[in-house]
Amino acid sequence: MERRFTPDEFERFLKREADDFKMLPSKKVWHGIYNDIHPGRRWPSITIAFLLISTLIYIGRINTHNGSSSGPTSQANVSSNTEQPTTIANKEQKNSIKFESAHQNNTGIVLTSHQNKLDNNTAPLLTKGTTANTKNETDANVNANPNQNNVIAQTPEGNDFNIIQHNQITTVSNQPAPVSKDVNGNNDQHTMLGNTNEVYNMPSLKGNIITKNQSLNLDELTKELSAGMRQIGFVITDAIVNPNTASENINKKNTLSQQTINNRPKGNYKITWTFFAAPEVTTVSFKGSPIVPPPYLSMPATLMPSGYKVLHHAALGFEAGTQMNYAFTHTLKFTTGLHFTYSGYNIESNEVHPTVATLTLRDPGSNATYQKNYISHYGDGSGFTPANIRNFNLQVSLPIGLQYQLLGTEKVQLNVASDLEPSYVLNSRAYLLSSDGKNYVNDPSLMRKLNMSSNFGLFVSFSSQKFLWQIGPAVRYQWLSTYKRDYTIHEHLMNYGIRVGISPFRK
Amino acid sequence: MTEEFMLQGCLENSAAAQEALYNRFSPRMLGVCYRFAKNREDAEDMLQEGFIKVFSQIYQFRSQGALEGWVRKIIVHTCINALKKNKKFTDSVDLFHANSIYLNEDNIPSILQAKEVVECIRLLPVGYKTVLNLYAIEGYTHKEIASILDIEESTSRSQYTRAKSMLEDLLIKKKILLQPKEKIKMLSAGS
Repeated sequence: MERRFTPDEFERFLKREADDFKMLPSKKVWHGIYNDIHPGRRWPSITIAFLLISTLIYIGRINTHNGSSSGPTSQANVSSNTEQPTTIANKEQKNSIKFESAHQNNTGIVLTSHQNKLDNNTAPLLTKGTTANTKNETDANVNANPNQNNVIAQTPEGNDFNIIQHNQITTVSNQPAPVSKDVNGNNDQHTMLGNTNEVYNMPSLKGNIITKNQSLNLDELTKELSAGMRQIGFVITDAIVNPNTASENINKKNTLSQQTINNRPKGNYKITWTFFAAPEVTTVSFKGSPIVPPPYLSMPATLMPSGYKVLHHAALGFEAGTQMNYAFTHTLKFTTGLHFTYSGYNIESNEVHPTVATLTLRDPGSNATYQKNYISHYGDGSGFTPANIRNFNLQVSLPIGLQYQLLGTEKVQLNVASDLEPSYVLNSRAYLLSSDGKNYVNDPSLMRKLNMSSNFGLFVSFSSQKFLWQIGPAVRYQWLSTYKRDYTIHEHLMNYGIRVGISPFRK
Repeated sequence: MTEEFMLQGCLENSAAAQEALYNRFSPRMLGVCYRFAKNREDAEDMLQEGFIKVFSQIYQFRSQGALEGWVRKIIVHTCINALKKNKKFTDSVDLFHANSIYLNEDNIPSILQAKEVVECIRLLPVGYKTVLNLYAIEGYTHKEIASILDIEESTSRSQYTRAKSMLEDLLIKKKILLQPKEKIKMLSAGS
């Protein structure tokens, strides 16, 4: 019987070849072994992570305080027995006017001050327009008349004040006043300001008066007066807030501080800005199969069942950017902005002599296959001179998404956010596996310039004195392949990271 | 780090010694696992499980042979147990249908010869390649193989014969082995 090889010769051949065969295991194998034989050494890292998160939450809570200065919509405390009133903002107290009493008459609320001479830039007397008392009093009176649209303030001589009506500022100075008319056009002993630009001879009081061209009932006026005065730095005593009870002579000395009208907040308070940064880990997934060139030209090319893989492992990436948040409601916000993302991963390869490598590609339009040849210096990772090659991707994207507050208090909230990110690839490098699976080639012309990703995150928000902080995990997934459709293997990048964001409070 | 130093360190549960031992033997052991496994991921799983056993049973090593041989034995047994656990032997074919097995030879990328040979071995059905690996490469007897795989000794012999024939044909087709006629010509030319 003819024998091809002697049994020992064949078995020696097999053993020799098999013993010469070596493969480098991935790093996760050793990590798995280490964690299994040294289980106790995992606990410090878990404990530290837990302590870090607990510390961040605790710092967020203790750094908040009552009466957040987040904007003009917050309410100042109203107290009736305070010597030092609470102000709503850290504004320098320039001047003050003292109100000794407040009472209601048939025209409205009257705030009375016995201060003879007022300092410059003294507090305005906020109201809706009304008539003033032209008696020779040294008192500063403001009469709030809900039926009038004018503003009058009378003060002791020597001061100027500004009247702001419909955002127009009129400076009232000590000028001879024309004969005043009432709203019906009759001469009136009262001095009043009719239209915005008219200036009358007011015993000038420097200050600001804010008016609105609106009719309100007394209750609303009271609220508005209180709100307005708080807006410009007043503390409203109980007597002022409740004029019905203010008929008693209240001998409380309250100092009211003033802000200039220039400090009036402007802008849309529904819009906030967040600046964030996120260190991330990038992983990659591959789909699809390489094209097998046909043995004969007349035969079609086929997709080879995936019999070899790209040996890769994750690497560190980074994401940073700015985000605009527009609040639809208290809990739901629309988000957009500008993000920069750097993603990368490493391929385990080995150095080879310069080798001709071929990519068999498919034209997406005509579905015809074609080949491109390259000179490659990297092999498939099974050799003995290992080399790590880095694939990376730098993108700029315009995210569009939503952010929703799941639960929380004024100080700490838990939010969830998600968005879609159309992106433009600024720079990239990707080594592609050749069609025979032996080598890696680099071809920038096969890289996409436009891509689409989505981001999902869960984060905790907490307030400090000046900023709103956000911290939490985020995941980003790239929907389209890194490569153009010519290359039949699809690469999708996925980033996992911790996002830290900061939003300055509006002043 | 010498072998004795590594061994001593492993007995003291030193992470550095364990890592040194792992780095020295893991490339070849992964090659062993790769011959038994279906793919690289399975091979790495077998390797990880095998080395965990090595480090947990290192106190049983009696220094009566080479450390590598002892490690290799544990790795091989781990591979066999993994195949048994995953019921991979159900993929085996019986002798009656052996001749109709089709091997997709085009799947083998052409690389270094050692890997080519290993890839050809991996193409065989699970039962065939397991017996081939154990007998021809790892040096077990058919009696030992029968005990390990829970089969008859005669089954082990017949499966090995079939596996060897199939592998031979594959290697010749891949031009890794010479045809018998060509070998005779070479021998004649040399003499």
